[in-house]
Amino acid sequence: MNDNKPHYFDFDDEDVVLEIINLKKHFPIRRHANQVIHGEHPFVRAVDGVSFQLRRGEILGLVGESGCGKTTTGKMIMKLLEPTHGTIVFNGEDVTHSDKMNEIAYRRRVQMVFQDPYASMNPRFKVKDVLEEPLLIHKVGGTREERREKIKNVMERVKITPFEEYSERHPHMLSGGQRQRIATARTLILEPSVIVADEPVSMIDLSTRAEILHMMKTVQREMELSFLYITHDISTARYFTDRISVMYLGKIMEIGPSDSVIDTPMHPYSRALISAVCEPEPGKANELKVLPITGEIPSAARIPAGCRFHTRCLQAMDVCQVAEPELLKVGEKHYAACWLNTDEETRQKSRAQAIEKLEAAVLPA
Amino acid sequence: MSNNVLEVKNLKLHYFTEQGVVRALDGLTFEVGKGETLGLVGESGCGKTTTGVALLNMPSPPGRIVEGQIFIDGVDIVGMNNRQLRREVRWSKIAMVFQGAMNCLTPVYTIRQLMEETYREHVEKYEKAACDAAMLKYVNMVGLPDHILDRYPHELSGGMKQRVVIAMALFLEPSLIIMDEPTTALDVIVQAQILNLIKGLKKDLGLSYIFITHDLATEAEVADRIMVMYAGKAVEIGTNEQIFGAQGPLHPYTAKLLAATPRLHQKVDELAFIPGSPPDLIDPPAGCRFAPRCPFAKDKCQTHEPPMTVLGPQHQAACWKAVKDADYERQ
Repeated sequence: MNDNKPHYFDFDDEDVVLEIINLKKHFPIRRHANQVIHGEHPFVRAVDGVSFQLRRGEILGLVGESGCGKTTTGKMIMKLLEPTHGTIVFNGEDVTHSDKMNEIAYRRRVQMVFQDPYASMNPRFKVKDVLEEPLLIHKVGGTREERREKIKNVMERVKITPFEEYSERHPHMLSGGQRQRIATARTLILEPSVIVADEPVSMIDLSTRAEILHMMKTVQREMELSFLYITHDISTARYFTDRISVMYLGKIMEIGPSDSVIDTPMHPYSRALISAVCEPEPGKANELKVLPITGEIPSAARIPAGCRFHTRCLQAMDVCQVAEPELLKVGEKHYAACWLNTDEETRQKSRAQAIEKLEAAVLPA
Repeated sequence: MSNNVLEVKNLKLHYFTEQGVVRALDGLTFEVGKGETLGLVGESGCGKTTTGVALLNMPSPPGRIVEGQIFIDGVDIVGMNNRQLRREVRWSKIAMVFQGAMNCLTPVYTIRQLMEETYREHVEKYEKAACDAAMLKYVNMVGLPDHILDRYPHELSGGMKQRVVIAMALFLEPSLIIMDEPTTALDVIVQAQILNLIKGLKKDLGLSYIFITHDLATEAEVADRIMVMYAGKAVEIGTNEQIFGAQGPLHPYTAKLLAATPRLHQKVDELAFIPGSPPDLIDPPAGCRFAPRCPFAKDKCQTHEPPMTVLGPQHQAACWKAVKDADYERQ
């Protein structure tokens, strides 16, 4: 299980709060009769070897289409799902298979904001109960007065004031934006070091979306939190994040500083994703958009061999069908997994090696 | 008759709830030209979807159209009864792709059965051959293979289901289609593909659309003209160029909404947002409905409601500041 640290981990250990190494999650699926006969075990490879570092005080975006494994990655980090393979390192400590007690302590430090703030709150709780619950669970609140003080402070931090008025309300008496603020406050009250936010603004109205992101960013800076921002929306990711990693079918295709990933994408999938984004500019109503991608996303149960993107890539070459590219340095702290970023010689060699390997597997000596 | 497929005059739709009368639509006047896409944009609860449902004359109870006229191809449909509407108007003249419709396809029916049902419901006499031909034609037109007709909804991806729903809206050949958030639940790439499809169909079939969304960026990609709604009223109507061009919109609400829309190729340190929330439609503010949230609001805005005023070719706005009202300027 001990995977080596990937070569693209270029941040110092003391600078890093969370480290994910070759994380995988494979879900077994029901077998057909002939698969049983042949002893095959089919899997949905939801996450298929994801590695990244999250620095202290950094916001990292995990961007991709539905089914790319971004939420599954988030759930594994939250320890809501057991990884099939790989390591999660938190503050230098391997927490992948920690016991129940350590898990509770870990969850206090790593908190999650969910997509739907209404569904993730008990409708019978008042705001003050919603915020008090984590303190009680983790037994960190102290006396009743101390807890009250903490709740008041955290509500001020997320700008839900006055305290007296809002603490007595039920979730249904709040607007969507206010609810998401309370959901954020609920994570902040435990003073975590990492927050995993899974699509925190996708259910919120556009006019307030910016307000919530702004609030989260302010809190993040004030409390020096690390954020893992999981989203399908690359435009909010640009505004909100320091670095972006683009995922496709369970793997990272490209990772780097947000500006350089969006301004100079080095992977065809990132390019397709970026070109598909709508921009509020005039004069586009009567022309069709050119999309550098074909087809639909394949099933994660049948991930294409070689580069997993080659079936949809317009620039696919021979090598792409047999050999899977690694993340290669393409800029300052910027990495992309694409053969286009290598030279012809490397491609020929990798292709030959991959074919050799395949033949060795198919034809026993 | 003019060149408009749809003309709406002073449309009012109110919901008669126990708490009081919710004035969801409070005097809408607009038109849609032949081959034109009108974008309807605004926050949730501003009446975008209610407008769409009102245009089919099927407000959900306790809602009722209390005033106004809806002319489709010159015929007022407000007074029509349900049978007439079903046979003569809905789907044959005006169709709607409802929000989330792709997730409401009955799972136990094949696509063929679902489409047949639409046909039986809206056509006087069911003819199998004609129905089959129409189904094939439109399924192919939205870029799906023939065999899709014999598939069940769960066998299709989100993008394919959305295409099926669009084919269902198309296949009785209406002249106007209302699209309510047709791309909201889809991934970016699929969204772009569907927008391309919608634009292509418009060109090929000369369709008119009303395109409802909360996202101005999507609107910029499809709409020829944009109507911005706030709290049951239109606050600005302008062409794509007028709203998104260098000159910018006239109404402060549109401007704010545009500033709150993130742009991918422009790094900003701070996105703008609109503080506060929309007003209660049971008891809306006396003056301009946006006044409580508007940074430019003055005394006049609190007491007098600004009328929709023509401010340029095809450009209207309801704002005292935009019309350079004398009282407003003095204050």
